[in-house]
Amino acid sequence: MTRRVLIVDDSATIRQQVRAALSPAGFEVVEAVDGEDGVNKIRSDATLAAVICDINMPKKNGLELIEEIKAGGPNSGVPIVMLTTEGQPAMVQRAKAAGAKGWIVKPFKPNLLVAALQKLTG
Amino acid sequence: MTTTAAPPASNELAGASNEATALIDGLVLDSTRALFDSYGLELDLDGSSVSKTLQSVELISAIGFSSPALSGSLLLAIPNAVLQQTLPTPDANLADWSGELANQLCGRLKNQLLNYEVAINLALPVVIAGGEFTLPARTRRLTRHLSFVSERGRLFIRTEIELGAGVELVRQTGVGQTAGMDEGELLFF
Repeated sequence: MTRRVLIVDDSATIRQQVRAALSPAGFEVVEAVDGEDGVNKIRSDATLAAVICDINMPKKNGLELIEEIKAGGPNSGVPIVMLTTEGQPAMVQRAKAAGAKGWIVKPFKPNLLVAALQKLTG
Repeated sequence: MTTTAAPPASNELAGASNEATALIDGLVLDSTRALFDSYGLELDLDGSSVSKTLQSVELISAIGFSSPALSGSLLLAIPNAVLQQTLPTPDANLADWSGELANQLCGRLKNQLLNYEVAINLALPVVIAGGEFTLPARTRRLTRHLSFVSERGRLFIRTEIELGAGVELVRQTGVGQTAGMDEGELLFF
């Protein structure tokens, strides 16, 4: 069965890069262009197997997104991995406390991303 | 980072600025080389004038950053031919990718500054497309230009930094250091 993954990132290039990495591995990739778009798509898509989420984005950042999603409501249980240039321990701890399943620092290695998603959705 | 209650005397500030200048240059140099190397482009420092590099630039990306200890901005001026060489996907939009590169560069700089107990907050990148660019006058105490040359052309980075009163950048070592995660690193919770 195809596993559906949402990439939330304001950079179209990063969304393309994630799609190029995951599609050959059998994932269906859908996109959100900022944090607010991400929340709406997570809430409205019960078929999502996982979410990959940037931190620094317009309208709502990635930490706000995960705290809002994990606070309850539709699809609050979907696994979320942060994919960001940030590596600040305080931010990592905040994401972990909110319920994130992992953290990847850009630039990412495509095979590492695939392995992480396979582990989370397998 | 260490702070004092009162602003330092002018000679101390001058000394601190020299050290900060060298430190910022080193951090930007290392971060820039490492970032572009990860996208397959080797960079060497170049003594070209900024105006000469700007002649071939179509996109400029800028990001502001701030914290109580340190604030400023980073500007990346890079010709399309050089950008093309770093594209992670062949159909990527150059302006989008220029902004993302500046973002990733600032992220690296931020992670390096964590070693000095400085945690800056990054703004979103702004990308300007055009030609015949000229740079505005400096607005911060420390304004640094680093020019690089690659096989596909030149690029340069302008960093403007303002240190908070009495702030010294001191590298933290040993137990309790606040260093962040490395690029490409994966952490499962």
